[in-house]
Amino acid sequence: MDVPLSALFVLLVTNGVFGAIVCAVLLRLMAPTPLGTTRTILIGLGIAPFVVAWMLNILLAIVPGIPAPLVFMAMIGLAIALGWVAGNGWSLLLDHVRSWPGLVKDRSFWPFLFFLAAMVFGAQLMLRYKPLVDHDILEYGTQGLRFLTEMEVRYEKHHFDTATGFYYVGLHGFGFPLLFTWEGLLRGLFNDGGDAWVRSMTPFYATITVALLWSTVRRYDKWVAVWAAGAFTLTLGFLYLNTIYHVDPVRLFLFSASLLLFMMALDQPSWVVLVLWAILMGMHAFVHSLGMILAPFMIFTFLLFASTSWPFRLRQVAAVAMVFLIAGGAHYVLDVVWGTGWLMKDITWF
Amino acid sequence: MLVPLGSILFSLLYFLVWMPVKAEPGELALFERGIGSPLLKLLNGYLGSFFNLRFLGNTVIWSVPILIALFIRWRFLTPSLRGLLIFLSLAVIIIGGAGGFNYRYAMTLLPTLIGAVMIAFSRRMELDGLTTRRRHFVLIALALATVVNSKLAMDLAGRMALHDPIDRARVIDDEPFYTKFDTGPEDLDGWLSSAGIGPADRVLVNNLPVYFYETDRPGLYYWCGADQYFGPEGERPIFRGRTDDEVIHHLIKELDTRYIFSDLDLSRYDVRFEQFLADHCRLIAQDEKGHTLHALPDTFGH
Repeated sequence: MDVPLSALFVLLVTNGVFGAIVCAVLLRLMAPTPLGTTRTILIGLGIAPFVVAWMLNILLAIVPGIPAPLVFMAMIGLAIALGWVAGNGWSLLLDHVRSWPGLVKDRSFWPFLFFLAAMVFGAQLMLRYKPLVDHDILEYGTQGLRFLTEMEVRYEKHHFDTATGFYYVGLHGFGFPLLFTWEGLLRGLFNDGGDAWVRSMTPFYATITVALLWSTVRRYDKWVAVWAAGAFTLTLGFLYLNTIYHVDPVRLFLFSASLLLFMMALDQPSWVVLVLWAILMGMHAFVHSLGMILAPFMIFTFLLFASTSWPFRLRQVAAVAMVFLIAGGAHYVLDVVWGTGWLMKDITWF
Repeated sequence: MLVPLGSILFSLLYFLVWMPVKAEPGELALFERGIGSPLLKLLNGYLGSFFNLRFLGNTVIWSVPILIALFIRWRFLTPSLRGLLIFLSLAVIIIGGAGGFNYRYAMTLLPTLIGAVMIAFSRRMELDGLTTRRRHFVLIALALATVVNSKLAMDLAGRMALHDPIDRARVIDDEPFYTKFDTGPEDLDGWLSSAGIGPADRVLVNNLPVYFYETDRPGLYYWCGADQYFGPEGERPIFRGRTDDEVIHHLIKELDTRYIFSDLDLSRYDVRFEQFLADHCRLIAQDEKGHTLHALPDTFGH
């Protein structure tokens, strides 16, 4: 199974170009915080595809039937605006990229590189030999292609396709299905279709999740980071995380990143940290219900343990809740009010 | 070195003593999720974030004593550690209570807990005055204990498959592992056409969304495990409250469906559905991966 060039184009545009733009923006904003360059870049790479999906959700919900060229123009406009906001973040990004060759002198980097190489090897085997066959992602994919056909996102009681009889049973935010829509839109430019790019997102997010764990523990001790990455990647669950096409690696990454920012917010609740924390929680909710369920508990814990004065803390929590809703949490409010009812109904577990 | 040895000992107990290799009749779903007994429901379900060793490895079990130790030392903790401790405890309760039936949810905390275990052990050994070399030796042994655990997990999966009449064939064939990644039907649309299904024929699809992803044919999405199909107004039962003859009438006359697409594995999730296929339907196609296509009897009973 060959990977078509149009899928590589989606990878280049979304993860490469847009990923770099989001990284540059975050580097500029997060520079004064203790997050550090590596983790900022990983978070930027992780949220970039979902900034695209988030924008797509808004466009397809507000302008049903929107022509594809208008979607592209909106995306290009968003990219240009963010690229301009990035300012000196670009030079910080370039400086960091230039420092990568120096890492090879660090002996503790080699075992980690070995884990990464093993993952890349496994990923290419899987992408070549495994089409989209796993149950849940086929449902996400079918719904995503329905969004593409209709160019519309609706909040309705039953996601039922009268033409085919398909019923979308998913209760989560539309973030993941919209990746299929995005791939379909971009590959449509080449009169092509398929899902190779979305499939590649499973090993991509599994890899950056390991990298996030490694870079976080590395701040404590660079060798302990290697063994932590080893203990994680050598589990059978991680093997499945890498080889079963699913939303799980995305979920794990966004949750782990939001937990990291939650810790930072408790230590140093600057506004940029709070906003990025809220965005990560929102993005997590945008891809999965668990993000919506856990976020209020995380925010409540912040309310209890933050070190700022109570009036200021309440203002911070209100702002975090607002950004969280805008970044993805609002999906569930809409879904409860106008849509499926989310968890406020009898659920059949598959 | 007691910690890595403890990990391995716990894994041996878990895989060789506690985990069953064969499902009890009618309990396939619980068995596959590893929650088929009260003990397993506690370990792999409610406390799955710590003890679902099949998928999470055996390093994460040590986060339990570490979390307890942190609670004991509560007044010495920084606000951020207190917040993390409270939130992690809440997350374990929420995930275990609501999603413990599914190992994928238990994995949510895995990177965080493994990072915490490694840092906590390293810090403890540092405070105990162990040399850097010895500290790293213990942590490497801990990571390697995960390999032993994963080997035991794969061994268990193999033994479970050997006891399963459908999975057995897949396990004992000698083809390279990567050729088994593709479990989907080959050219589904062509397969359906060659079986005589017209492009406008509606097919009852038993939990195989690949039908809707790969074809534009009309279908009726159904899951036998819960006996419900999904129509424009949501879920409705097919078998519940109906005799087999009434089910046939309901499918043909009211749901306009004469064909059933399933696979050997999924059909087992409901004994009555499986029996209905055997007793009342004609198998018109089956591929080498176990996908099945049945036809309901027509007016003349064929």
